[in-house]
Amino acid sequence: MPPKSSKLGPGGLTIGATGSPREFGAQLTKCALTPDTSFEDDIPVLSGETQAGDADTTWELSGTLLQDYEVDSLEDFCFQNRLQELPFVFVPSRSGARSYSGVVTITPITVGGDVKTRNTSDFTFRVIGEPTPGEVD
Amino acid sequence: MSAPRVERALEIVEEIRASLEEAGLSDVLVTLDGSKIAAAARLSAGGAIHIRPPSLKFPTHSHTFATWTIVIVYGTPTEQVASWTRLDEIIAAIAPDLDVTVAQPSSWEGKPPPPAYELTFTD
Repeated sequence: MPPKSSKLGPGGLTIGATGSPREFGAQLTKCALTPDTSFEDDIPVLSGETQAGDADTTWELSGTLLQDYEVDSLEDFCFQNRLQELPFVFVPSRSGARSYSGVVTITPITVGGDVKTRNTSDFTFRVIGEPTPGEVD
Repeated sequence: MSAPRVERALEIVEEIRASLEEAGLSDVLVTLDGSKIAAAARLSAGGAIHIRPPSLKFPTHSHTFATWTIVIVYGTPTEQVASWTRLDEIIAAIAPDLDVTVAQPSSWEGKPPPPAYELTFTD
């Protein structure tokens, strides 16, 4: 079987309630849905066997966006919706089949940076529970 | 056919000409044609500015950032102060409006190579 590899994009990231979702994709230079799994210590028992420690996975949606300083900017969206729990849909590539959806907690992001520079802002939004894999429409 | 960088280059030419005229330096040649630079850069002329094709970055699928380098050329190495003075006058006239981030001493092709400055800015 030949190896398969895809580039990220063109895709999309929409965040917001149904009917008023906001498209982030056009401003993003980076976007990732990242798991972080932690394991508790294994427990040795009298019989000599080992009880595996509990494992837990949390997720975050992160990326980097181009700042634009307009009143409808994504920096502004993050400020206006700070600490709100909003649904998202992440499509890594529209030429692929997979999408990921879930709910994230929006946090405010950096505005500004170096003078005479096209500044970017990094964001990291906590995913509540787990993302749900889906198929691109 | 769309050639947005060429269209932008022609706009930059006009912007530079306006800045030069405002500074009383309208005898400086501004061109995309490098073959015209040497003649216009002589001490007996006013100086020359060459707009080079920009380097391009595509940080997203919908954005393109163009980094422009324009070269100001004037005089001869044997008349360093006169050459530098004119180059500095031209830089002072055009750099603020272009939002220049770097101006680097350089030289143009020739024997002897005329003094020059390379100015860089990003759209």
